[in-house]
Amino acid sequence: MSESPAWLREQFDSPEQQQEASRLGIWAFLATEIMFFGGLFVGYIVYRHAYPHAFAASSRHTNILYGTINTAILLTSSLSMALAVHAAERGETKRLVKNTLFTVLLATAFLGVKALEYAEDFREGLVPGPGFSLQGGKGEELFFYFYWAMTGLHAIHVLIGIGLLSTIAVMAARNRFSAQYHNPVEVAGLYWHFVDIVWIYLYPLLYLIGRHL
Amino acid sequence: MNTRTVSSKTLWITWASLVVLLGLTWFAARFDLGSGNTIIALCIAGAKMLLVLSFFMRVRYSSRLVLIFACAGFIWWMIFISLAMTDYLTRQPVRPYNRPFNQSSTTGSGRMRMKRRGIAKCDVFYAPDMARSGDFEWHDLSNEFIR
Repeated sequence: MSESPAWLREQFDSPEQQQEASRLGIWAFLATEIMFFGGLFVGYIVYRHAYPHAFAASSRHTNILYGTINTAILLTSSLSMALAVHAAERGETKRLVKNTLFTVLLATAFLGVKALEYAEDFREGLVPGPGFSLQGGKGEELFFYFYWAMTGLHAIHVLIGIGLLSTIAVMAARNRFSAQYHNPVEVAGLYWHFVDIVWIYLYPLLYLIGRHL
Repeated sequence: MNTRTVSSKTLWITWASLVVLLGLTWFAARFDLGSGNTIIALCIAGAKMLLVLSFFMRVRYSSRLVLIFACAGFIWWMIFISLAMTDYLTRQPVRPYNRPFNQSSTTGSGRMRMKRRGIAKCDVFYAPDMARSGDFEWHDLSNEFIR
């Protein structure tokens, strides 16, 4: 009887099967995430259809500089995450740790820029409610309901990503991964790329649509 | 174990393409292209998503089963949005009580009751923007349904 490695769980016949199972698991989870964010996106589309002018006019009040910087930060963090998985596959632990930590750093920078932006939004009275500063009808307030709900939910996902990737970095530094076994790195990476994709859509829908007005 | 893998060069090229697309969408948003603004922005977002899915998330290098799982979420979301929009896109604004009655839209006894009240359409008006710009007045019929 051949000795099976400790990282191979007993319910799996082979490392390949274990890897495929974790891939399918995270993709099933991401499908539920698509529906989670999807509800907000459909709500956005319905109300943008109802209030096209108000939505375009309101999107001018978001800060495009912060939005664009944050998009670039997230795209770059996706690259460093992909490079981390690339390193993990080759068993290059040092490069894996470095790239994972760089991803965490960029994710933190994203939240930092978002915090500056939120502070500015507060000062400008862009929070729906009694102090809301934009003139017009319900449409302007609805746009900013979606702005806060969607970017807020996304920020929570970034926060969770920071926690996940920090854990991965610590595990990697303790030599828990090898060229044969690095499923957690790959799974955390897929989650992180998904968070990036959500922002890829939030950026045009919240920051760009009324920019030419 | 994982024979079909991505080279780090491919990853860097993907990132460079993503940054170029980001610049492009930012640049295009400055010009007034009518509905073209939204179309261009969403096409570029779609291209960026496909790049991330194919190379960073390696759907291109994965098994068919992973591909099916990855598509499933999007397909269900497409069903979600199609059904939602077939409702909202076909709603029509409500005419106020004092407008002349439109003969062509009368079928069924429910509509006959509304005819006696002088209501032409039986839908809740949900688009005040149109009310402001067009010749329709705001009139919420939700109470009519409750009775």
